[in-house]
Amino acid sequence: MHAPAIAGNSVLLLLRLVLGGLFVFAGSLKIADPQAFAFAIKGYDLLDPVGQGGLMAWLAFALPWTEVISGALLVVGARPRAAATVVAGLLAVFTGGYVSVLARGMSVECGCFGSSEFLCSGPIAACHLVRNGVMLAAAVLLAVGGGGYLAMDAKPAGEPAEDPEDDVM
Amino acid sequence: MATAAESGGGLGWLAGTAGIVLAALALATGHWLAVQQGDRPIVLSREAAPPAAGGDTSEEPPGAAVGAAIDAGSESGRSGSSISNSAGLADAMIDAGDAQSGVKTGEGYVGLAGGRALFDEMLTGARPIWFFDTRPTERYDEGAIQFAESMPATRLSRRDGFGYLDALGVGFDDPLVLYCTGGDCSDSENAAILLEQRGYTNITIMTAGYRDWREAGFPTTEGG
Repeated sequence: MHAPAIAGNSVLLLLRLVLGGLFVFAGSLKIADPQAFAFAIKGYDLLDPVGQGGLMAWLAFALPWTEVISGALLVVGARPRAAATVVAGLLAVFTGGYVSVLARGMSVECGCFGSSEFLCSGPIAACHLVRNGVMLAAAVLLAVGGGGYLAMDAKPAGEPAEDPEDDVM
Repeated sequence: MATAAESGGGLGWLAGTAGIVLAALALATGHWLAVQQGDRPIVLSREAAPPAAGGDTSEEPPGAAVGAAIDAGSESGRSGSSISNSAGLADAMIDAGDAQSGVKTGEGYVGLAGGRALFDEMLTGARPIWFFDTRPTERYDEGAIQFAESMPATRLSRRDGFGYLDALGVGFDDPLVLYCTGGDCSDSENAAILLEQRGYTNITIMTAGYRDWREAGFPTTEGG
């Protein structure tokens, strides 16, 4: 295997572990306290808490479970492209929420890591956009390039896949 | 580096993505249903928070009425508050009426003057009035209303979140005054939702937050 391929696979492995681990961590915190995450969703003021309270409550479970499952798949290297695509979709949704909040001049805590904070603190600001942008770039890279070393798609970077169904769930 | 298209797994990628989402949504829905049918369902508005069986809802003094009436007399209204003082008075009057009928008791909103009146009443010790700071603990540690206890809304959402109130000896009928930063902060509202769900019946939200209280020169924990 060529040196660039080795480096590429190593980078993908690292990205997969870090991004997957972060999503498992973030999702677990929210699952442990769905009421707090429901309040965080409410804080974005995108849905009516009276008329759409049921939907908001359901989202407080749906989003973190999706985070945990896709993050765990990334960590173990199963279906890494599909998992990275789901992560990218989640990040796109979250980033859209941030932009909406900033555009309306609101002061809202992101609730991304429960009551914990990762890299950015305080109400949603440019820092959160940059953080999500970096994670989104990593997710897109994984979705395109695969999971790297120890991934179950097992395609060495730089080589075409032999089995077109290798990523079928 | 191989791309999805190069690998020929486009359909597999799509199926995998859909499978992950469906599995997650199935788990989430099961979890959501279990929680909603449990003893602490998710609530997001005070209208949707049925009182729990733990609280005694009878014959409780409408503490908000005192503060709101004072607010209406001394202030012309606060921009940026979720409820104006006139609305707060109306709520307080409704609360007073509902206290008689047993439908709805003790809810209300007060502004700065109303909050100060309740604070002064707390100092007299005539009845147990509790001031709770619902901001994050770090903000409370930086400075809070004098004699206020820290009770972040995020603490109440935990399963053991009410143990702190029990330890303080807060009664279900005691007047509770909640405040956060002020302006459009939602911590007090969220804490009120959870307190009402638990069965606390006499909750007043001071829409003027700590910022207003401090700027008014009222007693705080800052500066010793």
